[in-house]
Amino acid sequence: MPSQRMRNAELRDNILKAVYEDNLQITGQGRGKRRAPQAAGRSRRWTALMFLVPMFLFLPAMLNPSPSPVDEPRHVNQRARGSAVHGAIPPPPERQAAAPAPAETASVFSEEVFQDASYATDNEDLPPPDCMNYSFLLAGGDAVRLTSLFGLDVKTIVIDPGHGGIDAGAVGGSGVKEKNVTLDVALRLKSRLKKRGKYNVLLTREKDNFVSLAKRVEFANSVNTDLFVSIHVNSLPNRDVNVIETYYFGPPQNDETLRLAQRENKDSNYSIGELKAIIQDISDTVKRQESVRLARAIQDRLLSNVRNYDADVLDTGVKVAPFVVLLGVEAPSVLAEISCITNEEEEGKLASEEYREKIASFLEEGIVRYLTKKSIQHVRGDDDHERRHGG
Amino acid sequence: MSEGMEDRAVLNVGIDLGTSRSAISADNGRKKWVESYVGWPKDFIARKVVGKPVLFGEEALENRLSLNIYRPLERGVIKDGSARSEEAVKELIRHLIELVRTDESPGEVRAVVGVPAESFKINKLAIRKAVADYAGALMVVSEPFAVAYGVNALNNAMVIDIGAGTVDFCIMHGTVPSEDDQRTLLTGGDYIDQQLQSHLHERYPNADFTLNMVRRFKEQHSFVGAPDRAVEVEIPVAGRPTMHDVTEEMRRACESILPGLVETALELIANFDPEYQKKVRNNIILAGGGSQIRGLRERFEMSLREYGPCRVNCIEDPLFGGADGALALAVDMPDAYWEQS
Repeated sequence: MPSQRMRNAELRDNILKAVYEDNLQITGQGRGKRRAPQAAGRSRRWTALMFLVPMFLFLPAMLNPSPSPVDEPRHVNQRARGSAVHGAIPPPPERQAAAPAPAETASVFSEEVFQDASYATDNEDLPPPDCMNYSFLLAGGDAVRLTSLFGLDVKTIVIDPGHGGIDAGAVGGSGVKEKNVTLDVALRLKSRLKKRGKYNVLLTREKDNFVSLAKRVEFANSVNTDLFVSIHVNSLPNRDVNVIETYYFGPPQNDETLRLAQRENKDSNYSIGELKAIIQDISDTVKRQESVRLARAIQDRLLSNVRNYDADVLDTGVKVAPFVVLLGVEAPSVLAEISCITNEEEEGKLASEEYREKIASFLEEGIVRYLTKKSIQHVRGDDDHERRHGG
Repeated sequence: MSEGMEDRAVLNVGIDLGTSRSAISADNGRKKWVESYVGWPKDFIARKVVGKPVLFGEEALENRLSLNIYRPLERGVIKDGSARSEEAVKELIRHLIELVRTDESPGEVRAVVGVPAESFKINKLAIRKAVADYAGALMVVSEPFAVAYGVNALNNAMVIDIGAGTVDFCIMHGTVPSEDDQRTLLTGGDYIDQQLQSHLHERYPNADFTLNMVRRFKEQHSFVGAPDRAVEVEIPVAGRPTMHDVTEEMRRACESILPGLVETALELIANFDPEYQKKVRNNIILAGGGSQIRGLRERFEMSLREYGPCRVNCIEDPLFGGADGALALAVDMPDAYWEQS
């Protein structure tokens, strides 16, 4: 059994090596996580991914039309499994020659995906990858984050202040208008995120003007946004209630969410045909995965913080509803109902600059939490022990 | 010291590039720190008045009316798209290295730079570029990791670095921590200053004070829990120096960071392998300037104990803990790695 000192020396050696490799990656000399150069085009990354995911799934099947399903051994740790998936993408040389991938796909693969393939092949301790088993990737929404797998990160964030101009949104008993609150909070949120120095933050409207939902969507897509956060304020028949809820796109879960969606979708300017086309256009695995996570992070931060000001605030959690504005944007998108303007006390607070700044900071916290957790996430289980303790 | 180091005549340095203070430790035994302020004279008259092309730390603060002053890592990252802030980081590094160099120091410098975790994620390339002019070889690591390495907390430990801009949490489990092993809160020392300023404005609306004064009050009197004595500070009112009791405001401001500390520490522990959670709970290390808040360690430990036994310790030298850890990394790093870095 190795002595404590030897174990410690081994630990240090491993750590020093990891620091060295980490720094190689920073300078772009690393072998693992280098990203595609800007010139290769970050344009339409979400669209590229939508194209990439099906290729990812079907290319091996095309190359090997009758794969025999092989159960993955239970002892393979999740990191290895994630990497094994990477390893599966490049076909063996002879097959590559027989079935070349389309040019566009090949270039994306070569930059974004192939580099991590080295992990599996360089680790001789690992069992050979099961190249045909993608169940881990697609089982449930939480097994692996495809954005991490494909090295996508967030550069542009569009914030959408709800309503505006002739559309005042909900109006509180003392006359506070939703359109003004959402704009002010959005401007503050923009300023806070900009200070982080990493994101290009844009608003769908910067002043009190009417912008149709279709225009908002068009704008978000035209700037290739990576995240879309729509800010709204709730209004409820029960004036005693204050509620915080965050939505991502999906079918309505009940009459209440349907009604809310109808109210927020007013003036969308979309025809039924356009809507159908948009719906058909969704390749939603990534978008849904990321939207759920973003919604959870925002809801969590908003709620925990607002509870310091209103212990009775209701948590209706992360919800699904068919908001047009969430449907059309190609990037992960959520709609946050940050407060409830029909609640008298809440309306009073929303009128204060200080509280609106707080709300902006809570939204920022949520977004940042989501962004800082943007790494490959693994299903917890037996394998975690191996991952954390070098097994 | 790694093999062949002496022959190669290299000066190893560890740098802690902080939001509020930056420190450097060198293997020639010299250690220095400076407030992370960099100032350039506003015009040629100011240049004549201050007598230097660039000023640092306390000296920059004292002459701030003549300077364009930068605190480049405010909120833990290089400020938004500011070339001047990047330039300020560069100047700060140069200044720190000059502070530890002696006439006998070897020409080649190898530096390991510890930066706030957020900055490590966002600005690491910019920081590498900033250091590159002054160090022959360099590596960048996250600040809490540097601390952990320095105190040999390599496995089953949690380091919480309470800095000015951010509070960085890092779980160590025998390797370089991944993003999942780290968390960052924005409720660091600057947040306490803002809270204190707001409480003081509320209680003493006529008192005339600046954020710098508030920061000094905090550095002298910060505490959590029961006060040992009343905290009284001098603040002018209509030009007249007046003593003010700020005990309750100081306590409230300092305690405002506790819920976030407890919640985040618990969250990280809960995500750790259950078999090893007990070990981590008993190996929590507080670092950074914020760890010096009187009573913080005890209150934090007491809060965590509600969820099970635990032990929280503070590092012995919060000012140089990060720089010493970075220096240890620089010294231990094999030559082969340096050559290719």
